[in-house]
Amino acid sequence: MEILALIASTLCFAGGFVYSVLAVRSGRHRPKFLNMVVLAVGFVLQSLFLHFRGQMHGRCPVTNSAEILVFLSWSTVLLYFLLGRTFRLSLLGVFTSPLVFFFQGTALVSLLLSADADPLPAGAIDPWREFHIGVSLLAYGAFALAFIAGVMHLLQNRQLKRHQMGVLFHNLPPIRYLLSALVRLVSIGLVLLLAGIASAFRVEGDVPLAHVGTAVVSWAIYALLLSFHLTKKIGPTKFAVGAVVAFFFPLIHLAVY
Amino acid sequence: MSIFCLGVNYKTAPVEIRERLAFAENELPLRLREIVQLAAIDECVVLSTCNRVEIFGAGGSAAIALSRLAAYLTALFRIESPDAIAFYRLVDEEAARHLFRVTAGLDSMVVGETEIFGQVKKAYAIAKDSGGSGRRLNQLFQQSFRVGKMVRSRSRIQQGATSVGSVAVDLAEKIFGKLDGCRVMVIGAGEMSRQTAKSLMSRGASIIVSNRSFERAQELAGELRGEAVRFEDWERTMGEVDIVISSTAAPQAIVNPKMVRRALRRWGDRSLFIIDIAVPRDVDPAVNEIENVYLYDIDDLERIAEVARIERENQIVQCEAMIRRHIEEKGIAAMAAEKPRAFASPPAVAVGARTAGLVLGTRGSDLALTQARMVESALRESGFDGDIELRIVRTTGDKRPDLKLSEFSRGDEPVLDKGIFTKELEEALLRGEIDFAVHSLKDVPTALGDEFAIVATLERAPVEDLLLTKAPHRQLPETGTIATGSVRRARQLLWLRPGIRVVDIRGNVPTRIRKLCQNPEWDGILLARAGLERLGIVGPDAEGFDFEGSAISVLRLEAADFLPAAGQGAVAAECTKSNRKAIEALQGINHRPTFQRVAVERAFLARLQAGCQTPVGIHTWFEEEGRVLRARALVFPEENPAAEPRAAQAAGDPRDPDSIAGQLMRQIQDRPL
Repeated sequence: MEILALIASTLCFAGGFVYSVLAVRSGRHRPKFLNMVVLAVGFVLQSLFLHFRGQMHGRCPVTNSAEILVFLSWSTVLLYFLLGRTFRLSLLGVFTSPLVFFFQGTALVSLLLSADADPLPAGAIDPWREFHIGVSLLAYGAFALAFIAGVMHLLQNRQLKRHQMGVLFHNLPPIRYLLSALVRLVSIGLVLLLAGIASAFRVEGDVPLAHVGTAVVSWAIYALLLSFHLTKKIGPTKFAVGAVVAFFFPLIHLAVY
Repeated sequence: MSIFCLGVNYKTAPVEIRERLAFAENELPLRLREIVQLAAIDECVVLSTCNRVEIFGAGGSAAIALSRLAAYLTALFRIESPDAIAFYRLVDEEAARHLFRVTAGLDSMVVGETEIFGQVKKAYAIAKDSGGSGRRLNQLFQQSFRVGKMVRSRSRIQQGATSVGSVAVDLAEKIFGKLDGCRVMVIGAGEMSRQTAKSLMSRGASIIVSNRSFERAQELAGELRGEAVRFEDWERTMGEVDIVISSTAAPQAIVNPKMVRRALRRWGDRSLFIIDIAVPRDVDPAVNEIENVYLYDIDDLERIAEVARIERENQIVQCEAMIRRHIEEKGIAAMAAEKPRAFASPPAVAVGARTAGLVLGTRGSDLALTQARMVESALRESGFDGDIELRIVRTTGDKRPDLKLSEFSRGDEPVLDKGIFTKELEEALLRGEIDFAVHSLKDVPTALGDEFAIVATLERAPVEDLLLTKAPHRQLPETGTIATGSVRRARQLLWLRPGIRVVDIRGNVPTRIRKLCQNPEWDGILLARAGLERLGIVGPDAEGFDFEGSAISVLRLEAADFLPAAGQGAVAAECTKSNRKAIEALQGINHRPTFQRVAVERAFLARLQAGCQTPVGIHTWFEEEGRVLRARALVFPEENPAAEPRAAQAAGDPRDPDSIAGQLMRQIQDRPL
């Protein structure tokens, strides 16, 4: 049942992406309202999946890599709804959909193929563990959005530098807004990840040092990046490149753990 | 019961005429009441803008109403006679279609512009409030607003900036977002800088002006509600602004990368947008390599604006189709002519035979579209009642506005003389995508493929060239710098005035005039009178005109002294020889005297094996009441720019163009260089 919700959600994001690309390319109108509806429906279906899984496990549904990917996608979309419109980055949806589709598509394949993906029996809940997982994945969701904003910044910068005013140019937000979004998303991610790391030390039982260490490394990389930018040691373009490249560290962390 | 429209616009009447017919807004209610008192006019709306004066009406007999309206305007504005002004008169569905096109921005000087929508709404509101409009015009105008919105939202007709100022604003907003709080520094106080700064100011930016003359800086700053700084302080001020517009008369770059990096260090991660309008450029191009700095010169802005203009024009065909579908679906024809719906819509079930439609292929430039519409009108006036669909085809010449005409002939496969402005249209003819193509005849290669024929020419426009200059001249100046893209004009000019320096120029007519205004080193440009008059830029005997705030003087070069190109001023229709439908329709609009003249001119070129880049001038004219056709030609040797031209004269029966061309050729061959 929950798999069906996940399949439907994944199709929503795929459809949203295709629709947005076609609308942008035709240049007729910005894909704002309909795209938001599709993302909203996809988000609700994601939430259903996580809810059912949570019921089955009796805990935060991040017991395997597939569920982690879905939770990461859910965090990304949640943060997009909370923050994307604030920054008037409506086109972020066009770029968010393919990333989320990729994560969920991978998760689906894993769930369908892997025996390890079966639901675990319900057990005792450690609230600190739940908090640690949830907040950390939210942080990675913020970094995922920062990755997307970084890609958009680099695209817009390239078009401005090369004097290319194509269809995408007209639809991408102003480069100053993209930089502002980058800074805020990285900052939010750092705050959330710090909370996630700190809560790891309150989790019952042993938490592998390497697990925490990798998270700390991810945090340090983003912190360095942000501080270099705020102290003018690197310019906006390098900051955007950094936000794109740095996202691979959280991904590696998730892949390993 | 009819709906009708009487009017003039920027295409049909120069500004001197339009300004005489302009209605003052405060007088409109009175004039509207006067107009509805005229015979056969029950309702009216007056649309009076800087580019058009049109009166839409509803009432009885359209013929009587239009005649009364023309007489009324003649009397009101003290014009010599109704025939002195070439009003267009549209009735029923044509009037409705015209209004829809106007409201959608398809008839505007800048296609897709949005101001006209507001102007039409305002004109309608005034008419409604003063009792000028009634049920029928209310319906029609409401439909036009619906159509205007539909066309603008479902097409890209208003996307992209089409002027340098609006391109600058678009770019600035793409960098900074809202421009409130943005600071702009203008270095130099030229006209283009002023216009660009005004565009930015209209979006909330604040302006600082720096100029060598502080008084001039203060004057411009006052006009832009900004502040002035001394010229020696501009470098320091660069560290405090977001946008720099530079347009000094410095002979070399005054802004270099080192200077910009110094300024950047002060403001951190703020972006800097530099617009270099100067020629020669004020800013070292290497500045664009600096992170967070975006440098655009005048060519970049022009190119972006030109691409947007072409894109909008490419949208015209789709928009016309939308309007046509709307008219059919809503039964607009029935509403316009107040006929019962069953007979008016849809055309597919109309009683009686209708002529099969034709597809007209044309380039998308302003002049090409004007000429295409001339042919369309001519077909209508000749009685052709089938659909005429306009299809825009981009030619090689359109795709590369950056190349000089001579550069098309370089390389192993030169495209010149294979028709850089006609090749793609001929390919569309062969594929059956279009029935006929409309060309400026001088763009058509002398040797057509066996499948093609020029089957008709409209009545020829004046063939003279015009010299447009910044300063007035009574005759060709002895010295100066003149720009032209034509080797014929260049060689004649150099032959007549060896002291003149000739430079190359490309672009459509408005672009060339703009380049003249912006380039301080140029004194004038040469253009064909026909194109300028057809675009409504110059009146028939005008000695000057205003172009985007610059005064331009006009000197007409008599055709007998400054020979035109073969086919100059002639609009031709080309089709495949097998397309009987098109040939029959087009022969109905052929202007025989023009056809005979251009036949001689082109036959001569064919014998010379001359192409578009061969410097040949030829002038033909009739004598003895059309019984004799005379020709005079000048052929300049391509390989020796300093050599005198070979001249020839001939006369003969206009029905035998080859004989006249042969006489010319023999004389040319008898006079070796």
